[in-house]
Amino acid sequence: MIRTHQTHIEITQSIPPEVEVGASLVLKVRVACASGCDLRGQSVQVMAADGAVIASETGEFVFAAPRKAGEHGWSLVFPGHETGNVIHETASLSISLRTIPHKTSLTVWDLPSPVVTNGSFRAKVAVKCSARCPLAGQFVEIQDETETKIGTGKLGETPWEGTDALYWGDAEIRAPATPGVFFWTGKFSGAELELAHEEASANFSFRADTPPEHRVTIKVIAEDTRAPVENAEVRLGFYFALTDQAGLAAFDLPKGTHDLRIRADGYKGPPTTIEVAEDVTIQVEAAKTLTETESEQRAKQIESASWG
Amino acid sequence: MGKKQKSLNVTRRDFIKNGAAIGVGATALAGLGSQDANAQTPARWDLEADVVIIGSGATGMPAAIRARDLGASVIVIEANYDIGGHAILSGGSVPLGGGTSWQKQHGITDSPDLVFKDLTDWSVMLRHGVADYRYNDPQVQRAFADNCAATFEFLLANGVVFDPPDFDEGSLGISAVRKSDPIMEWARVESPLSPGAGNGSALIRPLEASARKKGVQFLLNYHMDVIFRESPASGRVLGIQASYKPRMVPGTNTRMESFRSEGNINRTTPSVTVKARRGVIIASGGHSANVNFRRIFDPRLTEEHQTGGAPYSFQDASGELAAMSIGASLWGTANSFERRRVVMKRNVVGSQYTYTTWGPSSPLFPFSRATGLNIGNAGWEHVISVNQVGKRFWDETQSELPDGTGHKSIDPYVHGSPANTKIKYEAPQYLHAALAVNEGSTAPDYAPGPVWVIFDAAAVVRRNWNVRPPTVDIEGGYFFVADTLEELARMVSKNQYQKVPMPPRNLAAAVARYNSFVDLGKDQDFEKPLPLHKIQTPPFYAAWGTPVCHDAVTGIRINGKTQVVDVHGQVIPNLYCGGESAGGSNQHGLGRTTCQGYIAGAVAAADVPW
Repeated sequence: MIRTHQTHIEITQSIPPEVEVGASLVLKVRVACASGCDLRGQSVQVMAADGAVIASETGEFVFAAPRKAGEHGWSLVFPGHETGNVIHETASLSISLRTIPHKTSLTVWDLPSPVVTNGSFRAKVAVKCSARCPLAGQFVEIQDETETKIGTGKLGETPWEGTDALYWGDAEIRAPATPGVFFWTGKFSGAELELAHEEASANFSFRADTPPEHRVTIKVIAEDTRAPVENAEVRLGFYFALTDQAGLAAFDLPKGTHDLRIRADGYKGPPTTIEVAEDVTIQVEAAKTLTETESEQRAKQIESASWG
Repeated sequence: MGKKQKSLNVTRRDFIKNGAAIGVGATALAGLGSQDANAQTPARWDLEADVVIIGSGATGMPAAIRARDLGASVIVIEANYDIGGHAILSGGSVPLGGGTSWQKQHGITDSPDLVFKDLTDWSVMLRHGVADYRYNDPQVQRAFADNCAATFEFLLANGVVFDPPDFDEGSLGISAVRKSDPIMEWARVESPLSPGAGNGSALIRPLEASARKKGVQFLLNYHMDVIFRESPASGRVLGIQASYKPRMVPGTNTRMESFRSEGNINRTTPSVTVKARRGVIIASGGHSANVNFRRIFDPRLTEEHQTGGAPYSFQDASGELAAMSIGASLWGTANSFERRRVVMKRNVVGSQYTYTTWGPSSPLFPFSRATGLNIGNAGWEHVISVNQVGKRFWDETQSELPDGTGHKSIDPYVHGSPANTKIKYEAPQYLHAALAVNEGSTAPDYAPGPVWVIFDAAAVVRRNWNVRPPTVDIEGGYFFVADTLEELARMVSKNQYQKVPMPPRNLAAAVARYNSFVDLGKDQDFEKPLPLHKIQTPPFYAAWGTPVCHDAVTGIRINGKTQVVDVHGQVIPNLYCGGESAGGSNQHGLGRTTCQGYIAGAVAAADVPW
């Protein structure tokens, strides 16, 4: 006599409601016979809405999520079959999930400071995909404050040093016509990638100034030893440089009046203002102050000594 | 005291003498989460001593020696695997004066009266306008002043060696140099002998050696849970109950062991009762690591704020809670107001523990996992600090709250003079901004959440920072590196104290805005002086920079004899307290702690036994 057994299908590990497009999915399925038959070795099918069989496995499916973003549904089907005098009925289960585009983020750096007006300049641009997609050959667009495209950078083959998958390239950018501080934007559309990607943008700022007319060289020496002070921070207006081994910091800058500020570990220069009308070298004597280490030690002493 | 209550006392004592147990009613303070106020006096005492001391730090150790010197038997109950508490990790400053031999030797004139006058001068102000000594309890300070010099000589007699004075530094009041640092070369090297490589070891280890030699017994790995009193609101204190809480080397079943073992009581039973014939001394190190307790004084200090001393010492308010359950009062709570040492900004970032730090050679390193990255004061110019929702909140270069006042901090100084208040005021607000409610603060606690220090690869190169383990704690979730700022925000959200995700756009916007201040030459939001360095070169870093809780400067009410006083102003017989668990004195350092231990040991030893 032929007997009919009911079967039941279930997933043993819930699937996330939302995954990125193309992401790898693991589906663990269990089928049980109401009469306790051993169903090991029997296959379960994953069927698309149109009835196409996407995969057929015996317990664990590993398959890629759809490459298009949106809502997706499938059926898990245990096909009915007859073995000897037992018919196992078909069992099915509907599953659904939403696929979302890969997240991307963008960064812009290494701009000249300041940018010279009326020319062009270079900056580095880079994009990271949350799924670490290779982005070589993709483009980043630079837009000014009116959202006008004024530059493009093409991402190279190799991720930026020290990063996981940050693809980068040099962008050639048209400089503004007037001096000032500018707030521009880098944009990455991701539209040309095979898988869906979110757009990314990053705001960045920079200062632009008129073309340099003179070279100003600042030489920093220690007031006490008369020796050059290396690695001193020299700020001349909005221009900034560190001194070299000879205590020199050179600036190419336009005519005008600039505030000079100097600071080094253990030294501080007197604040002053200089008028730039020609190429000039200025020697500054930096007064001795506590070094960072001495300051730290002092703070520690006070910390352990104080009442409070 | 009512007749009925008195009657109960008599009955209860009789029961105890006969080895019976009796139940009593709860006190109103039982809700603080400590011992069960209905705790029944044990039918049997497992151990017994004249004086039982809770904690083996800078109060417990001198108390133990002093009581032993006076002929009392002493058991010290210590929750940790080794002695020393918070003090053994400390910088070891022991501000004591009042005419010590050390002061006389160096030509410093001082007296108990001068110490007392200094430490009760209402007019001495910190630079942010908070009075340094105004809220000290004169009774507590008078006792300190009177016993100050004697405590110093006691420490000398028990093996502590002090450094010569540094006259440029002062502490403990303004009139005289009263700074003294114990010094031992080995104390500054990490080892089981000196787990924090701090000079505090040079105080604690000699005292420990002396105590063990004199016959003090130590019950390590036991946490005091209950102080037994004849009844919750009256009668004498009888003893304590403690539970066995061994500490294991992380990832093993191996118990951490004390550096010395002579005098250790070898016991591993789940709990133990200890009868105190003459008295119990609470020297458990304060409450700074007990989140609920410290929030009594400052509700902002929610759980994300780690504690100085952790993960070595506990400061869990166990002494305060047990004492309050039998009626003890808090005291001098105004001292905790805007006190630098209660909550601190640290230059060490990127690790869970940023106050006391440990190198890989310390036995505590497996607990702390990282040494922390010290960016120094200058480092703040190269970073921004953001709150849990990725927003800047203040000028990162601002210092901590102003420090205490010491010798010559007001010069010339005239006691009580209005001139003392005419100082140069500074009010750094970084910490207050860090502790403020923000968009991520949610009911019921409205916690400010973590502070993250954000910087880029260029800062790492400029400052030569080591951003790899074991300097930073990547595995524990206290340091993150990411290719972009948005990705960094998503990673930071994994930290256990981030109760809300950090919105990636917030962090990117905060950095972009800060970078624009570099171009503008002015921080338009928080007036950070001369912002020089953009945060723009990948990869990007986020380091844990959340403020740290440190000292307790308020605690249980004591009188001049260190006797614990209840909420009605009555002494709780045979219960004593000193150091950070006691209120009435705001001193940082190990002067008040050692002195109060010195007093408590003597008074407890002389108490009437039962």
